[in-house]
Amino acid sequence: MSYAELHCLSNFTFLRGASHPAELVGRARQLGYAALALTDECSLAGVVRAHAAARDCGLALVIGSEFTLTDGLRLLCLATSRQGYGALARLITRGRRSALKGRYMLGRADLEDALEDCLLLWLPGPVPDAGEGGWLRERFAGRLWLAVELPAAGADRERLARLEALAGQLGIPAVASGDVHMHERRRRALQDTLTAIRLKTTVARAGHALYPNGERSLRTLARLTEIYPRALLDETLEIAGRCHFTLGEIRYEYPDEVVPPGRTPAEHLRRLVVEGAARRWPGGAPAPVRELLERELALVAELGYERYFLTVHDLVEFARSRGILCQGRGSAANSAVCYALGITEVDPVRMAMLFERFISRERNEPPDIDVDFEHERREEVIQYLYRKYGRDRAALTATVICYRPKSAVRDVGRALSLDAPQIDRLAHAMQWWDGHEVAAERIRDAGFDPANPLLARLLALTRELIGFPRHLSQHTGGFVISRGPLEELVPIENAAMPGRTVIQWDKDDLDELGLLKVDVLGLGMLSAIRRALALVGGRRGGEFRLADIPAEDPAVYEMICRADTVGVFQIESRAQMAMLPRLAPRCYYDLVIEVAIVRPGPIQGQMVHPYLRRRGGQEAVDYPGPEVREVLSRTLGVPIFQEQVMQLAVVAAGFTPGEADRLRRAMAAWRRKGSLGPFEQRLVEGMRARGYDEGFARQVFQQILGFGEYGFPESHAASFALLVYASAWLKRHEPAAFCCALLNSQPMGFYAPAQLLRDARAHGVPVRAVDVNVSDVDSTLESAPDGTPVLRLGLGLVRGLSREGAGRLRAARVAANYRDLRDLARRAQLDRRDLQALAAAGALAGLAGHRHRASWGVLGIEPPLPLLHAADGPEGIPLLRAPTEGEGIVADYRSLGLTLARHPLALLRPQLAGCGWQPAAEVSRLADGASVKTGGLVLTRQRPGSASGVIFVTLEDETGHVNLVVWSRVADRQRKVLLGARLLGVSGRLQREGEVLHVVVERMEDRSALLGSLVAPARNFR
Amino acid sequence: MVPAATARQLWLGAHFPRLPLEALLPASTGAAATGITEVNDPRRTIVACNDRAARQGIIVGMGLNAALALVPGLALQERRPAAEAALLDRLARWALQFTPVVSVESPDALLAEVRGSLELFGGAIALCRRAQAGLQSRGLQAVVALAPTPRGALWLARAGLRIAVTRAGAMPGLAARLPLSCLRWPADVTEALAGLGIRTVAELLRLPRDGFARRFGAALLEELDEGLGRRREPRRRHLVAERFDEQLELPAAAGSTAGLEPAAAQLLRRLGAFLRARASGLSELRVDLLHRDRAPTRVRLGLTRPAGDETHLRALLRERLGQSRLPAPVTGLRFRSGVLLPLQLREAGLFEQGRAADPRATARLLERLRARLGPDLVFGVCPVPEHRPERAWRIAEPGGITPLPGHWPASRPARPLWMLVAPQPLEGWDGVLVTGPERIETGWWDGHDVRRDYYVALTRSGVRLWIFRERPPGQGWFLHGVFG
Repeated sequence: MSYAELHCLSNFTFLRGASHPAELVGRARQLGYAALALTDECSLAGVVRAHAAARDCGLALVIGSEFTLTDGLRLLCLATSRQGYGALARLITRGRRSALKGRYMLGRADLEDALEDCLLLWLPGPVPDAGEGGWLRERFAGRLWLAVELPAAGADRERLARLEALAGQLGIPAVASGDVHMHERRRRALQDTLTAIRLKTTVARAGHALYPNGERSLRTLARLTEIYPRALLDETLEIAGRCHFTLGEIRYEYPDEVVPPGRTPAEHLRRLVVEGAARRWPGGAPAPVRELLERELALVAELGYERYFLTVHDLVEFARSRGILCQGRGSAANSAVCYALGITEVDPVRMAMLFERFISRERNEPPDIDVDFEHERREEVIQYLYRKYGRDRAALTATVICYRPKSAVRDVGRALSLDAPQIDRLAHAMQWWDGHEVAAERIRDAGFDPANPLLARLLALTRELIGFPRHLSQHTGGFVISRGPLEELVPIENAAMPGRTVIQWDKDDLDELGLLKVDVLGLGMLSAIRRALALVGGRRGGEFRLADIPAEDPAVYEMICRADTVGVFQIESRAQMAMLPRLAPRCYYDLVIEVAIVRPGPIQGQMVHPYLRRRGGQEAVDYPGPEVREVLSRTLGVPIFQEQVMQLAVVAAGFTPGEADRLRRAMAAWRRKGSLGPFEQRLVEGMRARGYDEGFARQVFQQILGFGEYGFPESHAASFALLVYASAWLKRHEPAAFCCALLNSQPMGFYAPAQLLRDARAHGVPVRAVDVNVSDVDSTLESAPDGTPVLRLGLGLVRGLSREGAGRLRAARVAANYRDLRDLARRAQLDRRDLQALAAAGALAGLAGHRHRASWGVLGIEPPLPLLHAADGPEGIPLLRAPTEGEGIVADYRSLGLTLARHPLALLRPQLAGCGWQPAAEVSRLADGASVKTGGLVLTRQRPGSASGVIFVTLEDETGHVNLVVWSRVADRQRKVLLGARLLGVSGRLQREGEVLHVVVERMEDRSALLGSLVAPARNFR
Repeated sequence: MVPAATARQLWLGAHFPRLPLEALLPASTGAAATGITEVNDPRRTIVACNDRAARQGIIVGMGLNAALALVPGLALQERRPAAEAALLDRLARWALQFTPVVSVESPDALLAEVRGSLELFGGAIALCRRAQAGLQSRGLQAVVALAPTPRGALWLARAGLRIAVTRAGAMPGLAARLPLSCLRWPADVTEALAGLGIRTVAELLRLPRDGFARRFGAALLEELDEGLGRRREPRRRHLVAERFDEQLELPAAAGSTAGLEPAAAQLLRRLGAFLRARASGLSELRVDLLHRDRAPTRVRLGLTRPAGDETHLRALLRERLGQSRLPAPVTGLRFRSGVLLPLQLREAGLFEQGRAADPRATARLLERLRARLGPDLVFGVCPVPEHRPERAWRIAEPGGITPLPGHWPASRPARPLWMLVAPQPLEGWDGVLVTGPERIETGWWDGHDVRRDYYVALTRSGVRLWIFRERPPGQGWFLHGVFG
């Protein structure tokens, strides 16, 4: 006896299914089922995961879907062939596109003439309606069954008799099916919880909406035999046998339009590459490059990827034609072909040793190219794609939004009737979730008794729910483009954003099936660089392009080595700054390493210190074996890049390239699943067998774990390093233009405008205030009499000023400068809100005097705005005092986020000196181990991802920054001070490593009271 | 003696900065750190906290996340505006000891006109002290202040100034000590004023009147004038909410309930007139039988629907009192109403004509049955949407039996009419199973998970039973019900 389950929902039927697709497949295999159909409700979102699991364990998987039509008719559709699959995907698309995000709508009319090559199972209601069956039989005779589902509801025998009679009466066969919602009976608590969440109620109140028992799980064959007549079970096998379609048959076809008529893709690509090479190497490409190009073209032709490269080239050409700065990255991007095509700027000559791997012949994996565009103009590129390929052939990839610890505990808590404040406290405690549980003392801290059975239930359910998909969202920029209609490949549904659609698969699903995707990403730094280049060009009188930036300028590297990198791409964070003086980059490739090394991968794999020691000559560079030397020589024997770890698995542990690739995918998912499964053993044993010692093997394995989520590939670092250098060059040689461009590209990067501006001024850039008679919307450069550039702050910085208002103000000023407030209000048609915002920002100083007077004046302008110079009666003139310096500073921060006045602490310095506080500049001159007493405004508080409990705090005073390290012992003792203080005083010891300084805090005091009204909000835990 | 310059009116203002907390918790200072959060506020702002929480750094106005970051174990409750209003109402009643003119200033203050009471209480200072002490002894944090204008008294109290200003015209002199926040003006106005560098009422007064009125409206200017006593404020509304509370001495102590009737009838007449005048009804009537040397005997009449009808109340009272044994002779009666409820004058609906039962008659029957048998023995049974048979019903108030809103399926498996309160083991069962199993495994969430297979079974004598077996099987059969 065997059985095929034909009606089974996974957790991709959101808030109904209570098991992952892989769990269902695994359990069906374990129970000895002949096949399993995954039939999520109007969705194919889970099928790729089920497919991968079924392939790995050798279970036959049927692809199908469950539908409830608008009139209540319920049925299952199962795909028998590629055509049937396409028809199913098309029907799902139709249902999803005609409803809001997350829902679908299908009527009987939608079934007419649809669903060729599909089998249908009718799911009769509690009181079967023969009319439904008759309607279906008229259209689908020969491929229609009546599904008999017996979930031990009390009168199952009667139900069975009734349905069999009905089937006989209609002349269609009956078949057994299980209405499976979970892989094991044990999930019934979670299934009940999901039901309560779906209905926005509690489990205790859900009543009959809950299933009375756990029968909707995969049941044993023995039990099924007790329940169903043999014939109904055998019929399942008959149906499963007719469904021979597998997702493995899906072949991706690239779009045609990128090839002009009359030419083959290969010819066209070669032609573009030859033209491009002539541009790149005007004197003719050097021989090694020509050779490389030939080799790459041959490989591309062999694998049939020409149209992929042509598609990306087309995209980049479009951006270029619009003046949108863009740059490709990824393994394939850093090929000579991509350099010739202008997709990337990484010169293969300069990087000769880098890319032995750009596409692998063995792995059936599509090439990977991500293209970054200016973040503010990415939408133009997306619209171009839609225009060119049509919405039926281009769509965004989905991102599966999954339950995280906090969201899971919130939903479970509500379902278990906890009240809102309890849920809040529990959710707060979930920050200590370690992947499996929350330590008992944290639970007690949050005011709960860990031994309370309710809490134990709640946490157990939360643990199960974490990682469950919640809904589909749109990926930031992953586009799928196909030759034929996309909806026959994968269903398309509406996204939350109007006019946007997403496919039901995410990027791992596409990877799994080898489908092409192009990542169209937005990058703030590209916007900033383009702006800075334009400003430099404007000042120098002529175009200034990225390529005009001189390469390998020693002055730039000197600045980088000093960690003077506020605003520079990628290397501006505190961790990066701490690394710069130690790594001391002196050339482009050093920057590639710098970008990749300050990541959890190398840090968790303990690769940072060995690399630095070898680089500094304190440790000999050696290799555990000759194959390893090949892989690791460019990083002094220490693996730093993701590619190196993969290659190590191949050369040192004997993985095939295909296995290494599966390892990479497993890495991406290990945190979700909690283990790398068989790979760990395989890797360690493979390396031991080849003579590497276990310590090294474990180290490589640790690296792999670290790389899982945050690993950085060399192919991406190489492209990023170009932008690091470009932005550093701009900062070093054109600081005014650079700062101006960064201000105009906000929000981006690590620092707020206040810090960027402070840094620019420290580098000698003069800055002028916002002024309604001078400023543009954006910040601009003016010229001092001696020709030095001066940064003029823009109206766009004024909080509360509408974008339109700023635009009108600028436009109306062209005729003449504004004479007074009334003139401004009238000509620029500004409403009171806009005027108040300008007054608060001090931008009206030229027209109306200090802030208080300007505000009084603005408040007196009455709506509706005077059209003519309406003569208002004379008004009493108030005696308004001028703002104090402190008030001015506070008002600056409130309305601009920055100030050109003195630093607030400069005002308080006499008192602070009285407390014995040393200014930051003085602290930086102390010796290692010296005791320190200092303090400043709290700029940031950060708690790094690891749960070690250390908190990093950055303080700022008028002379600079002080970085604090607060260990959890101290933090716990002085929690209130640490988290509450705006002006924080500390005493401790200085720790100096080269140019990197920390104060290790021993005691803290909250001196916020000194600030009075001098307020600057801290950026907490970003 | 009151000095000659004393204003013609004197207002006592009391502000309760922690009312949201005090309305929810008895003021035990040693309790755990506690914060009260705003309702319907995504940020869950803290609106009040106790001393311990304040000592640990919690500040009113903080978002919940910030508060929890500081004090992870912070006990939290959501504010209950209804409880705050009720507390304020009780406090207003308490303040009636000083003067009959008391008004509730929602959401967190009281006003009382006390000019006429000064002499009685020994002068302004003594009166303020007494009020302050009285409120403190009730566990409330209060700021009590006295001013010649009602608005001025509120300003002082909100500004935290515990002072007594009795001279007419003295308010402007205090303006420098009054921050803008005590005015409770709309946020946009306060912000605009801050933008002018204005922090106190005194600075506000320096602005030209015409310019101020033009920018902020004449109404605010009037408010200022009223607070300062430059302009007479219109009469305050929101006087204390009313309840019926009257007492009657009996001409001679009564030894039996029959002797109470004349006095009760008189009080009921007054109550009826009181209710009619307000078009209101009662939901409960509390009757105290007063004795000479011992605490009163308390009798509570609960009503199933708001009532105001004297005859009905009299019948009800007679039933109830008829059962009570008097522990001592009664010297007087006191009747107190609960909260007054608006009375629906015409209750009959369309379908209640003809022979259909009059719901009021049903309700009266129930009330009399309960009065006679005791409230616990007369109850209704209400179905509960629940799979576990023993929890699929509950005891309900009679009269109001409506199934809970919930998910009721269209068709449900058979259930016997007679259910056992608790399942009983079936010894030596040898009948026939007719239908089943109906598998019920659910209830994990409250610790009473059941896992059973139910069957309809026939005994040899032909009785249809509802029996089950535990899963996994082994412990024999249990009887759970009998089909009629």
